Amino acid sequence: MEHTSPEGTNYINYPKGLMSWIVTLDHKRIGMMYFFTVLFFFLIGGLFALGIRLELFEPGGQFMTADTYNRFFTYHGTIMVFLVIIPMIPAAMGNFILPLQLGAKDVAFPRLNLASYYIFLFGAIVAFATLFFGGVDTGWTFYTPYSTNTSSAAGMMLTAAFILGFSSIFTGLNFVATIHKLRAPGQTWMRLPLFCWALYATSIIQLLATPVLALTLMLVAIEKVSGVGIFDPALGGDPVLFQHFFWFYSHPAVYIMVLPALGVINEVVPVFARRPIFAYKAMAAALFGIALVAFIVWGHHMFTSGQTVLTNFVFSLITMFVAVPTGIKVFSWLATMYKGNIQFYAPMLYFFAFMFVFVIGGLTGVVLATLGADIHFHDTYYVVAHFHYVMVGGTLMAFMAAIHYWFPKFFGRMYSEAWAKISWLFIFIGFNLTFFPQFFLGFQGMPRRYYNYLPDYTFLNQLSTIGSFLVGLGFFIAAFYLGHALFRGKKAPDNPWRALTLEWQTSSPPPLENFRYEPVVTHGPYDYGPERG
Amino acid sequence: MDWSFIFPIAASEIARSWDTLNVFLLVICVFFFLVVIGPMVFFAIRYRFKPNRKVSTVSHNFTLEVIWTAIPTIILMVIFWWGWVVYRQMTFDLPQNHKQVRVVAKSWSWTFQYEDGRTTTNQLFVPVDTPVRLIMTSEINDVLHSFFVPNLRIKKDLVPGLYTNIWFKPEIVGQYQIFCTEYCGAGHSEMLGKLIVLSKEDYELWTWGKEIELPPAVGVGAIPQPPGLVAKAPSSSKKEETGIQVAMLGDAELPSMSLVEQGEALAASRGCVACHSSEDRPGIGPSYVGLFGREVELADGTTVIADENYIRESIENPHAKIVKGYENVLMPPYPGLLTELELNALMAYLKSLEN
Repeated sequence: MEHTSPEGTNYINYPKGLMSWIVTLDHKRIGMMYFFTVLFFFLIGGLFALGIRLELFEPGGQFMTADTYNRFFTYHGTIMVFLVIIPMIPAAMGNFILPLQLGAKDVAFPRLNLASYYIFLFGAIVAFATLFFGGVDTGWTFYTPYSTNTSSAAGMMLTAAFILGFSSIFTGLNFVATIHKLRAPGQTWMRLPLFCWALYATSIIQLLATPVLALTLMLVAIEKVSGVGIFDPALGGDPVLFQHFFWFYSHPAVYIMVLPALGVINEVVPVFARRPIFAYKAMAAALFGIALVAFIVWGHHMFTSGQTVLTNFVFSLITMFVAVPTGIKVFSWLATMYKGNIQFYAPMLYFFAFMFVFVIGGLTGVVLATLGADIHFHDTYYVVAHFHYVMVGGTLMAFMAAIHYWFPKFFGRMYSEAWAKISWLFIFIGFNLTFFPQFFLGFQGMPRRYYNYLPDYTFLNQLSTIGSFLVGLGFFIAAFYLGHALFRGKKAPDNPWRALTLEWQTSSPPPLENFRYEPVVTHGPYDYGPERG
Repeated sequence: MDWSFIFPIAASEIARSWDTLNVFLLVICVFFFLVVIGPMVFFAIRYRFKPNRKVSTVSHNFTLEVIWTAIPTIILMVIFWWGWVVYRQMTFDLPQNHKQVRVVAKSWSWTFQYEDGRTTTNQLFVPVDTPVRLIMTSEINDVLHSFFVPNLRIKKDLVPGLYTNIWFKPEIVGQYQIFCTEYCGAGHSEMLGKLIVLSKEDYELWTWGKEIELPPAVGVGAIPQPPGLVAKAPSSSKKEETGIQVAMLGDAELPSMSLVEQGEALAASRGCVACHSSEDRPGIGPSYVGLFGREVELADGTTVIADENYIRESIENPHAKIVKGYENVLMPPYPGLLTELELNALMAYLKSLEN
C-alpha cells in the first residue's frame, strides 16, 4: 500500500490522534517516544544521584539510613545503565536518525521496533515496581551471593533486566537489517555516515552479548527454584562464576553505551569544522576494533576476585588494546579540526567537553587496566571517577551534542544558543568538580558504596557534592530552554548547519516516510571543502 | 621522593613499587592529556570561523596514522609490563619463612586466627619487618568481602567456600586502616579494622599476653574520629584512664593449644583419623602425612595440588575429586561439620604434616 502524506504535514502532525502515536510504526515517532521516556528516567536517576551526593556531604548519616543509601546507589546505577545510557543514543537518536541517514522510509521491521519500545517500557515498569517490594540494595552489579541471599527484591530487578535485554536485542537486530537492506541508491558502504557505522558495531554487541545476560539471569532463577548449586557457595556453587557471566555481558555493554556516542561525535566534528572527516576508513574500522576487543576484556573487572594469576595477566594485556583504536579516533578528530573553519555552536561546545572528559576517562582506564596499579584502585572512588568520566563524560556529553545538533530536525525549531552556552558551562564545570576530586579519593583509598566514611575524606567529598549540584543546575537550565524552544523556538530551516548527510536533505521536521522523493546519494557524507563550504 | 600528598603513606616495599609505577602512570596521563587537549584548544582558536577561510581537504595521511597507532601501542606494552612486574611482586615475592594468619570475614567483622591458637576481632597484630601471609575466606552462608589496606596497596576478595591469600611486609610501626571493599550490605562502610604493626619487642610482649601501648595511627584513618561517627569500637581494645590505648589479648584468653594442636585434637575428636592416618601409612583413606602442598594423582588421571581449597572440597564433597587407588572408598560428605575456624585449625594441622 502506498502511504503518502499531504504536502505541508510532518511526522508530528500527521497522522493525528493519540491512537496514531500509541500504535505508530513510524521510526521517528518511536524514536521520540524513547527520547522522552529516557529523559524522564534520566531525571529520576539524576535525583537519586543528588540524594547520594547530599548524604555524602559529611561523614556519618545525614538524612538517610545505610539501607536507604544502598537503595539510592542501586537505583541510580540500575536506572542510569539499563534505562538511560544503553537506550539513550541507539534507541532514541538512532531510531530517528538511522533510516534518515540511509535514505530509507523506515527501519526494516517497524513492528519489531514498536515491540522493542513496549518491551522496554514494560521492563522499566517492572524495575520501578521493585520499589514497592522492599526495593533493591545490591548495586547494579547484582553480585551473588548477596543478591540471592538477601530478602530484597533483587530477583524482580533481575527479571526487569532480563526483559530490557530483549528490547535491546530487537533494536540491534532491526538496525543491522536496516543498514544492510535499506540504503538509498548510491549509499555505498564507504559513503555510510559514521553514526551508522557506530550503530552497526553497537548492534552486533547487542545481538551477541545481551543473550548472555539473559542466560545468566536464567541460571540464577534455576538455582533459586531447583536448589542446584550454580552461584551460591552454600549449595556448592561458585559466586565468582556469576561475576564472569555478568561482566561477559556488562563489559561489552559499556561499549553499547560508548560506541554510539563516538558515532555522534563523528557527525558533529566535520560539520562544524567545515572540512572532510580525517581518516574515514580508520574511523569506521576503529569502531569495530573496539567492539571486537570489548568481548575479551571482561576479566579486568575481577583482578582481585581470586581468579588465577594467568587470567589476570591475559586480561590486563588484552585490555591495553582498547586504547589503540580509541586513540586513533581521538587523534583523527583532532586532525579533522586542523585547518578547518570551526564554528562554536552548542554541538561543537559539547564536542570540546566530550574530548576533555573522554580523554581523562580513557587515560585513567589505561591506569586501571594496569594490573599492579588496579589492585589498589579496584572498588575505590578512582573507579567511580573513571567510569563517570567515560559514561557521563563520554556518552552524556555526546548525547547533549546530539540533542542540540538534531533538535532542529526533530522538532523543526531552533534552541537558544546563548542559553545553551550558559547551561554547557554549568554542566562542564560542575561535572569536573564532581568527579575530578574522586580520583584523589581513590588514591587515598576511599572505597566505593560507602554510606559512612573516614574524616580524612571530607573535603574532597564536599567539593564533589557542590559539583553535582552545579551539574543539576546545568541540566535544569537545559530542560528550561529546550522545553521553551520546543513550543516557542524560532522556526528551523531544513538544514541549519549546512550538513551533507541525508537527514538534512528533507524538511524539518521530516514528513511521514521521510522523503518526498527517493534520495540518490552522489557524494560522501563529509565532503566539505571549498566548493561546498 | 615523598608522594604522600597524593598517595597515602607507603608502608612497605611493594607500596613503594606501586608509587613509582603510579608516578610513571600519572606522567603518561598528563602528557597524553596535553597532547590531545593542547592542539584541540590551539586549533579551536587558530581555525575559528572566518567567512571565506580556505579549509584543508586532506582526508587521510598514512604516515601520521601509523605513528599514532604504533607509538601508543608501544607505550601501552611498557605500561602493561610494568604493571605485571608490580603485580608479580605482590603475588610471588613472599619469602619462605613467614607468619601465617587466617582470616574469616562475616557481615560485618573480621576474625583473625593466629598460629599460636588465639583469635582477635577487627584488629590484626603483626610484627614489623616480618612477612605475613593471610589465608582468607568468608563464612559459608555469608557474602563476598574484600580485604584492603591502602597504605600497603594490597587488596583481595574473600569468597565463601574459597580460600584466597595475600601477603605483606610492613616496615613502619603503627596502626593502619583496613577497609572492606566488596559491597556487603548495610554494615559495609562500618566493616573496618586496624592492622596493628608492633615493634618486635612489643610483639613479643603481646604474644606473652602482656599489656602493651598501641602504636599511633599512620596514614589513612590517622585523623581522629569524632565520637559517634563510627558505629563500633574495635572489640579487643580498651581505653585506660590515662587515655593511652592498651592492647588486650583478643577475644580469647591465652590459648592452651596452638592452632596445629587444635587441628590435631579436632581430627581425633571428629573421627577423621579413623580412616586418615597421621602416620605415613595408608588407612581406609589417604594418609595426612606429606599431603599438604603435594600434587595428588586422581582416579581420572588428572592431578591437583593439595591446597586449602582442595582439602575443603574433599571434606564437604569428597566425591568431586577421588584420589587414585581409593575409587571404591565412599567417604560421606561432611558439609558444615566444622566451623570456619575449626576448618582453619585442621588446615594448619595438615600443613604441619607436610614434607
